[in-house]
Amino acid sequence: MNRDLEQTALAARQNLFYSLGKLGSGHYGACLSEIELLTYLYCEELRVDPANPEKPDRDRFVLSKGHGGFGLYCVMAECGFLPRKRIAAFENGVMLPKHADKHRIPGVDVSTGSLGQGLSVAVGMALYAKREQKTIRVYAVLGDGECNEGQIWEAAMSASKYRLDNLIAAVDYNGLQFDGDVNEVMPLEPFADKWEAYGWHAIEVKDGHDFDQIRAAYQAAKEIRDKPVVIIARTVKGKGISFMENETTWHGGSCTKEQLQQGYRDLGMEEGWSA
Amino acid sequence: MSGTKDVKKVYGNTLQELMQENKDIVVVDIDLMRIAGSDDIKKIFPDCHVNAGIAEQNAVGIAAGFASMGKCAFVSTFCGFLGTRASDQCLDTVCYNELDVKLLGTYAGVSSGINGGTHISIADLAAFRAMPGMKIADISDGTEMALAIRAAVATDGPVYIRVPKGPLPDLFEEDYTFQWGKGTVLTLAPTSAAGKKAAIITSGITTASGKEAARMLQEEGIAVTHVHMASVKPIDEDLLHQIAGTHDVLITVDNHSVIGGLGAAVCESIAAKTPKPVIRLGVEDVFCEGMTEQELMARHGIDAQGICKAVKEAV
Repeated sequence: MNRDLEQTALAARQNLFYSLGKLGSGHYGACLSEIELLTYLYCEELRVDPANPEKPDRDRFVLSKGHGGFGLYCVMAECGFLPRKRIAAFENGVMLPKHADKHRIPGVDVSTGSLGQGLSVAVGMALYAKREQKTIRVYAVLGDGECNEGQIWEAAMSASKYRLDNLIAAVDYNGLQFDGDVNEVMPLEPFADKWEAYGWHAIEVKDGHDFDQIRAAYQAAKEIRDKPVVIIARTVKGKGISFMENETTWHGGSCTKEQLQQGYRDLGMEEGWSA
Repeated sequence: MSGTKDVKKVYGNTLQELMQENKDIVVVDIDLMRIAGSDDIKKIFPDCHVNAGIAEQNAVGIAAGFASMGKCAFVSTFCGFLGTRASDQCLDTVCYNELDVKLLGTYAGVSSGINGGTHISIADLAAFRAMPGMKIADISDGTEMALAIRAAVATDGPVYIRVPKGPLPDLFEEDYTFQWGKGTVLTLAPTSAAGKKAAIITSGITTASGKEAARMLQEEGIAVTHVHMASVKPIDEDLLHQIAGTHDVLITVDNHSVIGGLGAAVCESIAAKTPKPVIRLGVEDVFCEGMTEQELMARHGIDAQGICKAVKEAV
């Protein structure tokens, strides 16, 4: 089972690196750190159907860290929501937005980008599902730096007020934000305690790239009653690209020709690889 | 027509009527239920009501979440707290996603009066006008408010309804209609009138001032046109071009900063096709001070006397 997931994650990562290279720049670090979380969600967890992406009673997914949009598109492409070649393509001169966009990709449930806003939308979705007695679950992925935003904690308060046990948020805790180490720019710790203090059940994942650990966290999350759950997944910013891993400067940027070649080698891609 | 209406009752009663028929309406409050008038909604429709606490940004986001699931979500709080405090949420989450969220701002502009400068919304229209897809109604009386709420439900997508503190004097007859993109000519100066012709353009609480000003000017033998422009966005371009084409000067009256409000919308509308001098009355790029609504209207020249003075200077 994990082998398939690992292959899907690798394929998504390859297409991401290829596409951002072709497009010239992008949020490499933030996209690369979330790939396993998204791969698990789209391949195993979310009750969604690429053939019917607007199905009313599907589970909902909110990429609150909207700048991970290309990571999401690449995982969704591997799952059949869009052709792989679309990631790097221009349509009428317009590329896919770097921030997750529902107008361009059927199956993206909400467009995001301005940080801190997605979790509130997920709360509204989950409260809707509760009130309407639907079995819909709502999943969100947040950035760690995004948790600097006050609105995240407003949303956290409201989710526990309404006992939203159909809401599972994961934090892609890669430890780096634009200006540096997350815990230097604006310390988050004790992070799990904060979520617990806001009435959430917190589950910590030591390796947010390990599918066994991710799966176990989500399975445990679904057993929790009367509380929303946060999965705090430790990840590596820039995961998979040797010179990007744990480098703040690779939040976003452009690769030189040599760096592109190195990235291709890191991901086992032949020269001339194409989606 | 000599009565007044409590805007709280209008909001609560209109929503109740709508929610009896339409099960898809939800109401999100921000710890101001008794000011908005939605306290009964919580009692009667508990499963369609959310109180987000004092957290405007989250409240707008929750409403967006409901709307993304197919609901029509109303959110209410003071105008400034929606238009500026939660502006980014209204823009990026609500408008960008084209969601059916209806924002109802209370205590519009100087009607917040003695609450002082931090509570007097002078920039909300400017913010909302710049948001793609946002419709804006700046309402003047209780009849119009009820119609605007119904018109908000009847149209898809984001709406901002700007409501003064009230109670509001009745200005319109029962057969009055509110339509997006349509202004209403309340008084039309005769074409035979001598001298320069002025048209007053008002919305919200300044429409009562405009009506009174038109009456006072008439008594002095000065005929003016008075247009009520509740639909600030989309604005009635056809009517504005017609008025601009048949008048020498337009006088707009904003219960808002002169930057970005009704006057700015009028200027932007007529500038290219039918340019005419426009005198923009309103809050002149300053913060308001803590005074009563009437005192603030006088200070900023948007009461009937201020409008009369501006008209006389212009003609």
